[in-house]
Amino acid sequence: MEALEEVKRLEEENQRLKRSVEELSILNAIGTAIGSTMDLREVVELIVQESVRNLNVEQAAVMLLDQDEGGDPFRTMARKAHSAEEAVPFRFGQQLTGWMLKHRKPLLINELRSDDRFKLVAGEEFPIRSLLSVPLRAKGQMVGLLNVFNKRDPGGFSEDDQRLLSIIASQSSQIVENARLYEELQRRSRDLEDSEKKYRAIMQGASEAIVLASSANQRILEVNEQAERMTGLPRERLIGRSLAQALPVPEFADPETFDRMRDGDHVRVSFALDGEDGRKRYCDSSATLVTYGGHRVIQVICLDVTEREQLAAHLRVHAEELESEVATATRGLRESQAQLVHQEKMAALGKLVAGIAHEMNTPIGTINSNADTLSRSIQVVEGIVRGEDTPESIREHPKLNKVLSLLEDIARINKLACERIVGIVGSLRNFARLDEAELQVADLHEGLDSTLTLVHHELKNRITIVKDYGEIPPVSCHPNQINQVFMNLLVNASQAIKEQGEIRIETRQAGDIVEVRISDDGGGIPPDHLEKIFDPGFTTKGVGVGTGLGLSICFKIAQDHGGSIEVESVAGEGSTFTLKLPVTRNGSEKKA
Amino acid sequence: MSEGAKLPVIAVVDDEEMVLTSLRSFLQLETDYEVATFQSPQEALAALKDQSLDLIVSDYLMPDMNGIELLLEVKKIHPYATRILLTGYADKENAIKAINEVGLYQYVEKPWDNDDLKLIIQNGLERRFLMEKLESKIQEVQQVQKNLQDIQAQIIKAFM
Repeated sequence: MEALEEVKRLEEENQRLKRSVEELSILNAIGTAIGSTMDLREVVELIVQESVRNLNVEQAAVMLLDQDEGGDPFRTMARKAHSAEEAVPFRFGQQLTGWMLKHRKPLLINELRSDDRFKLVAGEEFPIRSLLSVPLRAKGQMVGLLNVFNKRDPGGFSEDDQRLLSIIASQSSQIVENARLYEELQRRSRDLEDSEKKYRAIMQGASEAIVLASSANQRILEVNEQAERMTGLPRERLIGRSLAQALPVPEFADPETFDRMRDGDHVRVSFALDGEDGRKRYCDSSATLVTYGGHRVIQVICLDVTEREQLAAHLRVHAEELESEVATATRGLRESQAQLVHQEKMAALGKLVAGIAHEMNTPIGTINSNADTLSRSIQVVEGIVRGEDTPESIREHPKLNKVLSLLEDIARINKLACERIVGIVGSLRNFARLDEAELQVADLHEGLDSTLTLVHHELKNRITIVKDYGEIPPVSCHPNQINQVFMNLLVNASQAIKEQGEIRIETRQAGDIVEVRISDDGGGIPPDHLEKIFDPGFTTKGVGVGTGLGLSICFKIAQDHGGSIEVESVAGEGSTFTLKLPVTRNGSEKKA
Repeated sequence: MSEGAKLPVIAVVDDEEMVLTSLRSFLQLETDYEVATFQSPQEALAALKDQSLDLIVSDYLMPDMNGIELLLEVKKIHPYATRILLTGYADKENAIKAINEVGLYQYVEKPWDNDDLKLIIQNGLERRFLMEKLESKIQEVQQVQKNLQDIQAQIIKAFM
């Protein structure tokens, strides 16, 4: 009995040893097989193959947890199956992986059809009866599953099978993970190579010049054709140079620029260089750090903007031209506006003056007449008093004589005062009614000479008149008005000369224009007065000396004749007034 | 110029008394004319109906009737009297038109010059008397002609 037990025990021991040997040989085989390759697919296929053989199952599969997000978390790396029909149905596969993902522990089922967990998906005709699934773990993380299906032994999977599969799993999982990582690395490096290739293709095909340089020492690593063209240097000579040597960008000599790039900045600079053809090329560039071939490198993209710059220069010139045109036009507008304003002023003043002159006519006419009559009356009385027949007591009466001489003085002064007022009213009226006189063809020299006679008392002994008369044709004008202009200009000139001086009168013809220049060597006109001297009411003479109407009247007369009046003056050296009149008047003249 | 003892009769019309006084003073001092002054056209027309007139000086702008209208009326009463317009009215165009329409002798602007005015009045009077003389000469000639015609008729009658 003991011997029997002993035999049984030995047999068991033998069995156990046999199994251990088997296990060891499996592990050895797997280890050897797996150690011979780093290819993930080969590794996995070996595991599957050994599992099928050693566990005596119909199918085995290794499923790896996909690292990528989304989709089925597992991908079936390898499966050993006897026929396609025996393959694990998709629906069940998902149920199984779902369960394993949730529980992360070995699963042993020998009668799938009666298992509560999978009864619904494993029907009558289901190809899988039994299964054993164990997780593959690397560094404590589940990285996949090792599954075996349909144990050929009638008894189904045993605890020993589960233990054996777990051993296989634990032996292979690190290797699988390593292989997977290796594969991942290879894939990544392939991707990198691809992207590098793609980048290079893009770079070469780009219309911009692209220069890549090391971020460590700024030496050029790669350039494209456009960069060669831009710098006028072949690729071989560019590579190895520093950025600052290759491109005339002062920023590239400044280490701070690259610090800024490291902070994620795009450094944008514009520069100019001499192109292949010796012509200046203008470039806009943008430098930044990019990843190229797995390294951080400086990427400089330069856009040739020469044409744009030329266009811009063109535009600038054009804009300047336009600006100056606009300025000229504006100046013209301003001038004509000023003239319009001036004309408006004159028109308004004309109306005002006409009204005033009209209202003043009657009273001043009366006073003027009375002053004259008074003067004559006094003469009559004086004649009587001084008469031979008059008694001496009256003729020599002191009081009477005193009164008579007083009356004479008063009458004389009244007459003078009235004459002045009448003169002013007359010029006001002339100003307001410039259009009334007849248009005549007149010799301006005659007008000048007669006016000179009139102003003689203003000039005598003090001012020399220099006549420089040229050949001028008779001019169609209102002679009395033109004479008024001469009078004004001559009187003004004489008043500008404080003591001794000279007034120069020049006449000449310039095309269809006759010019009369009246110059004095007097005090001149201060610049701030120059633009106002033709304004009505502007006067520098004391109260009672000038009305401030003289030059504005001259201005209006010249304008109404289709001509102009201009002034040049240097303070301290004298002034020149130039009256310009058209020889014949055209349609622009004011209605008569 | 004066025929016999008859002095020239002058009328002055202006709505402003100052003008009337001024003109009257001057004319009285300087001339022997008989000067009548009127402060309104109506007043002037009423008086002039019944008296002789050789020359009239009238203002232009007056209430109710202007100088041109007045002178037209005066022309009807005294066709040979010389008509002068004295005006401060600044519109020469209208004045000239009026001169042509009414047949003015002269147009004088205010403020006037006494000497100028005196000369114009003297000339105007002379013209008026020349006109009168001309008229009487024409009448004389006409009378002579009529007489001659009568004589001619008598001669023809005698010979027939």
